[in-house]
Amino acid sequence: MGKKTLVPEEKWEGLRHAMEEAAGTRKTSKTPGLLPAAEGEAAGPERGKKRGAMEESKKERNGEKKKKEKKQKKKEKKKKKGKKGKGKKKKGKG
Amino acid sequence: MRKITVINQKGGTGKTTTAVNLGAALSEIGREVLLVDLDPQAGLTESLGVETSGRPTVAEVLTREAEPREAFHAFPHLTVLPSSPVLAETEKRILRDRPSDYPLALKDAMAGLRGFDFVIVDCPPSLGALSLMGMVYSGSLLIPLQTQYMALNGLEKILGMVKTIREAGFPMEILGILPCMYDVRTSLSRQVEEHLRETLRDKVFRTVIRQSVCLAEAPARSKDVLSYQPGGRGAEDYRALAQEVLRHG
Repeated sequence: MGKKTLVPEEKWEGLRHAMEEAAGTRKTSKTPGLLPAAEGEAAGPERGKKRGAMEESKKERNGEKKKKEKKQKKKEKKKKKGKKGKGKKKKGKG
Repeated sequence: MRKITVINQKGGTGKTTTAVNLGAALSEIGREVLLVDLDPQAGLTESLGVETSGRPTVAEVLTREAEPREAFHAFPHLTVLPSSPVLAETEKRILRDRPSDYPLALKDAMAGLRGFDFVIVDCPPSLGALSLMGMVYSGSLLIPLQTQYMALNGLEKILGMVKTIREAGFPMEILGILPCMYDVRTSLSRQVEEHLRETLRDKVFRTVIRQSVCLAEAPARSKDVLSYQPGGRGAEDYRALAQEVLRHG
């Protein structure tokens, strides 16, 4: 029969981490078992931020679109008015 | 002067037994040893039969109402700075009077102390202000650990506190973890000891304090185990520990 393990392996792993931190050989104080995010892979909070930023930019873009539409409408109106005005001025000069 | 603080927030792990008998083993080989009882329960003081009535104790030393030497009780090669239940009130007073630098209270009170090869501090079974004072004073910890599952939880807490103190700027080293109350007949004792060595390697003393009736009987006779039963298992283990501490430097 195999040897019965009375103390779980996680307990020893936790102790090893605690000792490394106490002795100053481990700089970070991350929770045991949590590996740092791989390079190039976005971590949780940043992902959240990006999502927020995306939402903001969407809003901005929607707002810009509306503004652009308004501007275009104004330009069209001005063009119509401007043509009339320009014609009158030409007449006055000659 | 080598300073060692014996600490574990769990009660009954062998702190006082280790402080007394390591001190006795070092004094047996001619080292001048001072034992500081920093526990309001005064277990170390009582186990060596030190009478404190009408005399200053570590409580008065901490508040600077007495000089350490005024409170000393001397045996051959072994001196005791005793404690008394008054220390519990003194702890509160120090916290009130020195809220920002109370961890330095023992270090300040013992500044300038000379004439000892070893100072061994016995802490109360808590990680409170008194234990913190003891830790900061020596900067070197001896952690007695029962070879049982529940003791491992306590060890993690102490290590967490060591990290916090070190990060606060106080130098702190773990001299070693001492497996205590080792019962070779139980597989739990054997497994805990084996895994402790595998996991924490050189931070575990090679010496193991085996379970022994004489270690419990000696305080009842107001003696250390080396005087009570010089050829016994307890005396043998603590002599081995003293040699290991000496080798550590």
